[in-house]
Amino acid sequence: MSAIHGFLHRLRVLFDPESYAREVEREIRFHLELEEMHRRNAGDVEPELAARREFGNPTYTREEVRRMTGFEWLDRIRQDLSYAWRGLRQSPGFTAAIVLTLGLGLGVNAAMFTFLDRVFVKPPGGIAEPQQVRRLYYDQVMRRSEDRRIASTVMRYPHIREITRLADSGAVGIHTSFRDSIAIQVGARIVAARRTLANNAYFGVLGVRPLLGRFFDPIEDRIDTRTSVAIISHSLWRRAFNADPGAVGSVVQIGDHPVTIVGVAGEGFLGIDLDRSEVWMPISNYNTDPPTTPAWYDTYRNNFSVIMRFPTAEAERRFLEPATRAFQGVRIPRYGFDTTGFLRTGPLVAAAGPGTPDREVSVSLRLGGVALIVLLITIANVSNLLLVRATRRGREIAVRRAVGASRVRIFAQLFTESALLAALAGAVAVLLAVWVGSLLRSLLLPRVHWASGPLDMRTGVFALGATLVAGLLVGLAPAFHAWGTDVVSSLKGGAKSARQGRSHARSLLLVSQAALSVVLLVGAGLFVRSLRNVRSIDVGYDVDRTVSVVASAAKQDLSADVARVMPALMERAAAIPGVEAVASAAMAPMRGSSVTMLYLPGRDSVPKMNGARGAYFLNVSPGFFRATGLPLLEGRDFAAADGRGIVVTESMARTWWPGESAVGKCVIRKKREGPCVPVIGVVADVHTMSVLEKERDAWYYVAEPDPDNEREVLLLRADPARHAAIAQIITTEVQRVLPAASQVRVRSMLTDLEPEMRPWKLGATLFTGMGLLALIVAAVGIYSVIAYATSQRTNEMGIRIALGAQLRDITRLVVGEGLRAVGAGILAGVVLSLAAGRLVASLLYGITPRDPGVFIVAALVLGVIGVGASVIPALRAAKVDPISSLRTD
Amino acid sequence: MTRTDLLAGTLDMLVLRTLSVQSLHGYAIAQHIAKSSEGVLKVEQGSLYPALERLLNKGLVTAKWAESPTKRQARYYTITRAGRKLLEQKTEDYDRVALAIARIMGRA
Repeated sequence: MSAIHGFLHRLRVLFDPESYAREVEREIRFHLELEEMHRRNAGDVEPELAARREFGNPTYTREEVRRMTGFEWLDRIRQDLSYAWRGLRQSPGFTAAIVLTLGLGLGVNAAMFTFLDRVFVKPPGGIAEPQQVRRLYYDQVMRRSEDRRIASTVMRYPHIREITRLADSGAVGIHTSFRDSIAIQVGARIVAARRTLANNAYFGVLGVRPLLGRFFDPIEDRIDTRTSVAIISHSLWRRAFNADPGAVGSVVQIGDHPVTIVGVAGEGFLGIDLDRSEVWMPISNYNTDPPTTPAWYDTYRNNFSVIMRFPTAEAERRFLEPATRAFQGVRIPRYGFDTTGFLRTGPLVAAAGPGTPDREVSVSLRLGGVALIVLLITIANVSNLLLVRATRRGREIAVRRAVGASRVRIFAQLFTESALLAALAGAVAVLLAVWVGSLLRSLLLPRVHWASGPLDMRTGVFALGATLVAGLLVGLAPAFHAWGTDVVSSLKGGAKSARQGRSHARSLLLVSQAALSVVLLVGAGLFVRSLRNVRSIDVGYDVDRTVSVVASAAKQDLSADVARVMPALMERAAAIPGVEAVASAAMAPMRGSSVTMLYLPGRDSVPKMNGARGAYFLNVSPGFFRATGLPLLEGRDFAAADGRGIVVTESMARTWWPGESAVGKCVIRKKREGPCVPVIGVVADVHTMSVLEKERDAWYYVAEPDPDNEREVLLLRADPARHAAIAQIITTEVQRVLPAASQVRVRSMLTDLEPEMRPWKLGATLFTGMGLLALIVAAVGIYSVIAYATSQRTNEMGIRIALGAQLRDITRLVVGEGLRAVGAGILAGVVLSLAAGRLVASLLYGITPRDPGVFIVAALVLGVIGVGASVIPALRAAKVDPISSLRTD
Repeated sequence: MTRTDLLAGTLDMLVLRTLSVQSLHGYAIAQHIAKSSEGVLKVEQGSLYPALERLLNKGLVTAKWAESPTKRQARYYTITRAGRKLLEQKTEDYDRVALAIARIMGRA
């Protein structure tokens, strides 16, 4: 009971301290009046004075009463906050600069956190106890370099069969390693989705339940007969079927087959990878071989992965040992037994597992580090700005100390200020995180699906934590400065000693900002150069000017039709303004190829190139080399559409006929007994599939009509500026002659190769972006510190000018000092960058992390910034009027 | 810990005792203690109000503004039930201590 009375009283005092103070005042006055009255009645001479003396010090009483009550600490915080708020409002520009700078650093980090959380930490949605589910990896020695091992989730079906033998049948979830894009026709609509093939145990292992309908039954789970049923995700159900329960049991068209929907998966489940999978079909649907080859489940194609659930580490170990032995017991044709490979597991979040990480993922991780560096720079910058401000308030703090404020109290007030600034910056950061978050998503791994918005609970917690830490760090510098303030000399004021112009803390912060900026600039330079190196790789073809046109239909195979109209199309295309050359081929360059065995007449064995015995080839039309910009080095191009002969690439010519010209020689294709086809020309080397190939494969070209290998891709050569216009015209043309074509894709080779170059583009863009940010922040920091330091020395400047110093002398003095600090920073930054080079070495291309050119440029840039930031204060200092500066305080 | 803490306990007890008879304002409490002790105990008036505040915080008394006999507004303090209970307990303690001291001193 008493607690309530007391509590209510304290609350009242807390919320209305002024009125309570007035009450106490009235009470004391009443007391004094009574006392005075009594003394007067008792005949005292000076009743008022005596009454006062009797009472004692009313101020003391008031203070004591006040001290007794209220939640004192809360009171203090309120006081500090309102004081801090007033102080910040008084210098809005300063406050805005700090809030924006810090907000920027925090925002960028929050955005990177969301991203990295999604890729490395957060398990996929809709799964029960995801930490128990593990992916199986096959850890093996790399085929072409004996000393390197890689761990891969991709396995061959015969191996998986062995694994399934050991475990309970319901415990091995099998799924395709890659999702394929399909087009589903629901009624009149065509919807795009990604599909995974899986067995029923896949869902069981993940603990996913059907929302409607069912998952696969044992018949559908058989791998030898194809059953056309499908399970769709909740999101697809909503999108394509408008959440109609009649979707279960309905029949849709996928590709060219009718498929029955048998179930809808629980909400939130979209597969276990970064890109969303919305359709699941039984594994029996994996059948890409022509009927003449052995059943796909006995072949050694790598396309499946396995997941299993292990409740304890012990259970996992107990399974892995016999499983590895069984694995090693599988004989792989043409290879034998792999006795060095073994099975291991990794978490469901693939990026955190033992497999080789996606290059983009690795770059993202480095960018997280960059974001942290940016944050450190902003913290150093803001600390410096606050320190400058604290120095200006030296006198105010001295006065407060003089009237008795304890150091702790002043500390608390300064920290409250920093906390308030950090809180405001946190708000800015949240806004920024949302915006930067969406930007990052489209740049980094655009194929990833994001289950939630850019800001979720975890990011919020991180942002809060980061803000608190930032607030704490930022408050340290000015607090420590206040600690060391000498009350007497601050109060005295007078001629400012030159000592105050320099401060160790300020210089240290400046140097660290400069050093970190150098690190970022070096990183940016390395990635930009890598990108340039990758872009300038010669793949043989002219990547910028070559455009491929592919026509397809959702439900039928148009190859024959396209090949039929191709000559007419080529004629039409050649007439389009801007098209310099036209040709056709079976596939777009570097998008596909065919392979055959080649034989030399009279020889048993043939040279091997890049470890392979066959050679790649492409069926092309005459004019292909001109259209794709592939230089013809010897001999000639194909003469007519059915010209005999082949054209080989340079290294094939060198390897197969060393020391002589390949033109005129002949090779036998496909079967040993076949005709010997003459080589009519030699072209420059090409890449087979990727920009980053190190070794050349054997390549040749033919120009022959072949119903199994129709030339159905139209190729154009044009200036990149005209690509868009040409694309429109040719699309209309194609649709005119081929009304059945529902999709016409016109793409330049550069666009095709873009995904491969994305990691470097990413690294270059973001490193440069953040580097520029850091540079601006550092420039502002350098400027403000030097400006302040110089303003402190106006007396000294006045004297120098009075003694005859010229503009250039003063400038040299100030800029020199600025450069000294920046120079120290550059040195430290260079050392840091050299040490940290290891972290990005694996991601660079064609450049080492110690490239001197990059370092020199980074140092120069920062040096110029340093000079620029020091020049303005220097010029101002030189304009000081010596007389007025000597007069003022 | 402030210097008034040692006396605070005793002062609180005296004030509570005074208020257990009737509700009074601060000045009257001081007068009462001075008169009842025949001038021996004089409350340092500066420490009275802090003491009253302390009692308010602990919920042992409540305060209200009312009209005094001289037709002026004064703040009257009333003891609460919790205050009475504490008074009882403190009185017991005090009696015990006083008896012990008296015994040691041989009642002299």
